[in-house]
Amino acid sequence: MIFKSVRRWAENHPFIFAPGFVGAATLLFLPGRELLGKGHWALLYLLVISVVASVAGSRPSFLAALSAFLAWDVFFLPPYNTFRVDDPKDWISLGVFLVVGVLIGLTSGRLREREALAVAQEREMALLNRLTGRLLAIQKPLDMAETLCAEIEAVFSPRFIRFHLTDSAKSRALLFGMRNDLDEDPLEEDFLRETAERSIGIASPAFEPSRPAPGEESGIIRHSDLFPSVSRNDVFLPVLSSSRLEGILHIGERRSERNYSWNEIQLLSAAAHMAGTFLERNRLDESAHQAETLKEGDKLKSAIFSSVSHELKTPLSSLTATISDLFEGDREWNSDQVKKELGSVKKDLDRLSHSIGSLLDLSRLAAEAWKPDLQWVETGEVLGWVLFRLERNDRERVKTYLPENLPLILVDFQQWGRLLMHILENALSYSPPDSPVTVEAERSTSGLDIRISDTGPGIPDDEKRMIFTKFFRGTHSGLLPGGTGLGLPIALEIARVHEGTIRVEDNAPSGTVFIISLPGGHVREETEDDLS
Amino acid sequence: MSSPERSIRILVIDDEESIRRALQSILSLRKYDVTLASGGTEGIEKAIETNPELVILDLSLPDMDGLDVCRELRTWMNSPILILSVRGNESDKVQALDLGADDYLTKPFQAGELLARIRALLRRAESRIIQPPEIVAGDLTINLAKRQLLRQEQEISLTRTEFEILSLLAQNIDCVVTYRMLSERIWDDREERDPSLLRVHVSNLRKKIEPDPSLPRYIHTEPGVGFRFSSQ
Repeated sequence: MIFKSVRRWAENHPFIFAPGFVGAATLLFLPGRELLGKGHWALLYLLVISVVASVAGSRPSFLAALSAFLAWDVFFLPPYNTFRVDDPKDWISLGVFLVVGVLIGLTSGRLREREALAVAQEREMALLNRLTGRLLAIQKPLDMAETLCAEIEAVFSPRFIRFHLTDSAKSRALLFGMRNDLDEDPLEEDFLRETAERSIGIASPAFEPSRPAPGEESGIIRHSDLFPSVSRNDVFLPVLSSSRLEGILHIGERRSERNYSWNEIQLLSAAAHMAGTFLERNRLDESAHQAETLKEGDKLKSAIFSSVSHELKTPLSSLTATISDLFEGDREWNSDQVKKELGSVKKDLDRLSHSIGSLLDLSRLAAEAWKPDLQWVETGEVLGWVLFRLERNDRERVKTYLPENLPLILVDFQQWGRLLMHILENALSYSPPDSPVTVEAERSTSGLDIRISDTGPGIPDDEKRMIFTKFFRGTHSGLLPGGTGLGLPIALEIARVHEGTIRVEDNAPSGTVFIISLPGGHVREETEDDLS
Repeated sequence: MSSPERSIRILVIDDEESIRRALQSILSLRKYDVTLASGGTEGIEKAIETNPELVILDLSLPDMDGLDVCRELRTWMNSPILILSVRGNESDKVQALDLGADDYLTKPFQAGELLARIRALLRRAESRIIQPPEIVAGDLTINLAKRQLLRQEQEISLTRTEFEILSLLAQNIDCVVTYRMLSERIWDDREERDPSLLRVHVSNLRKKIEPDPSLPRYIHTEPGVGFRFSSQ
């Protein structure tokens, strides 16, 4: 423990440590001066020099060699306590000692520095590697910020890390990710503005004035130049992408006393650059996705257009014809005839309203705005709501078989209702007017199945897969003039956002069965706890 | 369809001319005394002028938010407010009901539906003055004083919570009752509660009173809003 802290102190103050260590060794050697020959002491001093070199590096070891040279001369070469030397041969020894001392110091110091560099590089490579790997797997910018902050914290243990994103709309920095609570720092906004305006880079006190080259070259300046009143050891890093300043990374000073080295700031800068690249990639991905959606939307739009012209114009033209006929002055209408005509007007209006409803559903589907508002409800409750909305004669055709104690289901009430409505309307329209349509619900192995069966002509096998395609109209769709070809795709989309599925099977002896399945996560037994 | 004995004053606030015209013709044919307003400010002025017994209010108005009109009217007016809304705007509906609106109707609506809502609201406004001790709906008789529920002379036993729910629904027969109104009545607080808890009680209530609990005849669900007790 003590050894470690002495070592850390030595690393931080190498030019005090070098002569100090030689001095301490001299004090230790002095009492035994007469026990060994003067040559032996020279060897021991060489040992001292190599210790200094291995702890503090090559330049301090040069100072150590000089100190040892003087100490050996003054205290161990007669006459003592003076620089004079009696034996002229000792001048040769002294010269050789100085050269050997300096060489040992330089060699072991370099070795030590290389080792330290290798360790640091390894650590840095590991950090960059980890970051690359993890950033590739991450989708959301917020997760990226979290990961980046966590990695930097693990390697450098700064007092805090704050990640700000440029908000071009408001031209200010938005706090984006952070470690350790800290109040708002107005300096960050200033820095962001300055760096954005001057397109300059890192600012850190670690850049000593004696080392201007890297700063000048890469457009790096000290933050104390920007903000003279601040002399903290924090590091501000621009998060740059190829196109713009994405934000800044503000890393607080270290918990230990040591400042960030130039290499470390380079590493942090590389990490910030990776974050910038990530943000840019993320933005590009998003616009690519949007472009894809737009393309899909275009296809949909043209399909909608043809459907709209058919679905909306047909009832509209029949409405126009009927009503303009009623206005024609060339014949007298009795009230029974008017009622009959108005009946067909109402039918057209219902068809229009239904088509518009489907188109609205579809536009929500295309806009991916289909977010279910999930609640625990009863299967029967939703079904009841749907049946209540059917025309009376349709309602009377539907037979329900719901066992008691069905589990609760986790669905968006309205959306689930629309799903059931679309499938029910489909079954009602594609089967003879007086034939029954049955609705059954039962627990499946994992969740809940709702089966809606009709006794119509059924769906040919090659069409079964097509019926969920938008605007597809089956062979038997002639039975149903008002269909938009949208009901089933909408139903399937609703099932999908509920993590459920819809299957189609043949009914015996004829007809179709739609099986709507909800997974286990959307099904729960009703318990007494619910009432507490 | 019976006409009211005297003209009941109804104020219609809607910016769509065609809707105003349709409402005017439907309502004045039934001898209601209709006043029309095409915006929020005009609506509030007309309300002060005519002191209507019922207000029909469209939530999307050009000059003012319909919710604000609702809030403003409620500062002094007790008459029922019927909201007109479009499908898919549940949150607006619930907000309006919380601000004191009494019921809603989703466009497009049928004339019969509109008239039934108006009659239910007017009936409820009247019954708030004279509280009937007994409410009859279909084969059910709910005795509020004795806290008793009878189906064809047979008593059906309900828990305290179930009876509270049923009586609140029945006192507002044919009118919507929101989750909030129910939880205020049952738990006597204004805390936001999970509607799924209410659903469980309502489901148990349905099992006791509905001839076919999977196809409710009395208690209808209004998704995202609450329940409605139907007299039909």
